[in-house]
Amino acid sequence: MTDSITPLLTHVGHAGHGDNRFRGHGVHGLTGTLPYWSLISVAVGHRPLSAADCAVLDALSVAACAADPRIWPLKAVRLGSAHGSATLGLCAGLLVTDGVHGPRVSGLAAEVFAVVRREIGDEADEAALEQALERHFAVRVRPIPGFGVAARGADERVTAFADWCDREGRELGPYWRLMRRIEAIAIRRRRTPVNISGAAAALLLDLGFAPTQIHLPALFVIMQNFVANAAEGALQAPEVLCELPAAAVRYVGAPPRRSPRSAG
Amino acid sequence: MDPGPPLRIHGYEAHADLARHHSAAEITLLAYTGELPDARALALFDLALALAAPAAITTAAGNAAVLARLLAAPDANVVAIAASLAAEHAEHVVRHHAPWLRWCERPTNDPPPGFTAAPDDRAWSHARAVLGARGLSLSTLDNSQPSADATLLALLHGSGVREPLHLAAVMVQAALPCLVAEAQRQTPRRLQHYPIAVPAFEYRDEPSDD
Repeated sequence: MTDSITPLLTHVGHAGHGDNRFRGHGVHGLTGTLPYWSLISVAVGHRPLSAADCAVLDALSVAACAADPRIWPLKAVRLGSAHGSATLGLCAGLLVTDGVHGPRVSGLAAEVFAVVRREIGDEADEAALEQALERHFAVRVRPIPGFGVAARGADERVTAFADWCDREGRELGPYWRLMRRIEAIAIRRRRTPVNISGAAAALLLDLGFAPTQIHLPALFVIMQNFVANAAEGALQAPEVLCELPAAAVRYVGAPPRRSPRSAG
Repeated sequence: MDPGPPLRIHGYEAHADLARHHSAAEITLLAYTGELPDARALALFDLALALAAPAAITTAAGNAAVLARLLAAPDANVVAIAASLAAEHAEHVVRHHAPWLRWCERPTNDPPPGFTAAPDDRAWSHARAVLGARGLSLSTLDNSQPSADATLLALLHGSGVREPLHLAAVMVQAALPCLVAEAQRQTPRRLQHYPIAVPAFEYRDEPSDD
């Protein structure tokens, strides 16, 4: 029955007797030599990262800590874990941020950066950059993915990371510089400074990730916020999140009425 | 929905009125459209639910729900996996059928290409027969021989369910019983019932270009 199914090609892993293969590497040999961020890089089909590259991603991930459960996606994590399941809390966070807020945005931002840089290089003036943005993205009518910070003048997570780079003397790459130039335009035109999703995209591009490889590593940059809220939320499992008091909401729909069958 | 008390759906008391006098399908349509349906809308909706109900183990949602059950996942997670994958499929179907749904809005010209039934797909014919037996017709089905998915969406459109989110939700609602029932039939931890070679994966020990 199953002979008619064409085998699916995979490069990611093979379970073997004595050792497993992972993306072309023997796991036994990798153990203890591959930092976690390098493992994520290899997992999405990119090269192993150097220790210095991993340190930069560690710093970005720490800077990206924003675990306040009042932040909307994290509220979803709390609701997902409200009956005691940290796993469901984590899933809720992943699902609600799979749209226009979250790591998927990093992939979209990376596409913008890659297209623009491919077209104008690193030396073009501001006018050429702005024209390229307009050609490839509807910058007039909507924010560029990865730009826009709610109620603040800058994303403190990006600031924390940039400050660390300054302190450490880390020189960031051409995509980071392009991102900053685009940010100047975005602020001037729409008052939308870069956010952590745009910053992650630029940094990951500078580390050699392809735009199509960026979505999931960007997820790992913010994952600790989900984990923290899922862990605490499942332990607390508070009744108030299982069901909010009715007084917390205000009904604005149709007024009370009776169905015709009820009346008849 | 007014959380009450008493609970109300679009103004109607949920327990004292709706539960006593109306079916689950009527309440579903009330939730989506804001009004209780007439007999025609209800008939179209009922038929759509029936057409969308079969969801076999071969679908991604059915397959994953079975795996969740075999892996002894909590019941809530079996339901969540079945529902989320069914929703993913439904969203894909709705997005793919955007031209068809636009045509359903104004079916004055020929239907758009690409939504015609394959020779062994007779859902449109069965739907027409059921509607005919009830003295009903639907112009979008009368003038075409659409695929099963297109037939389903035409019926839902005719019933008043038109928002993409609502369409996807109804498709999940319809499919969930079969998905969960199929998973329930599996014995947790009996992994040998799921052949490891279905589907077969061929590992190549080389850098990925994907």
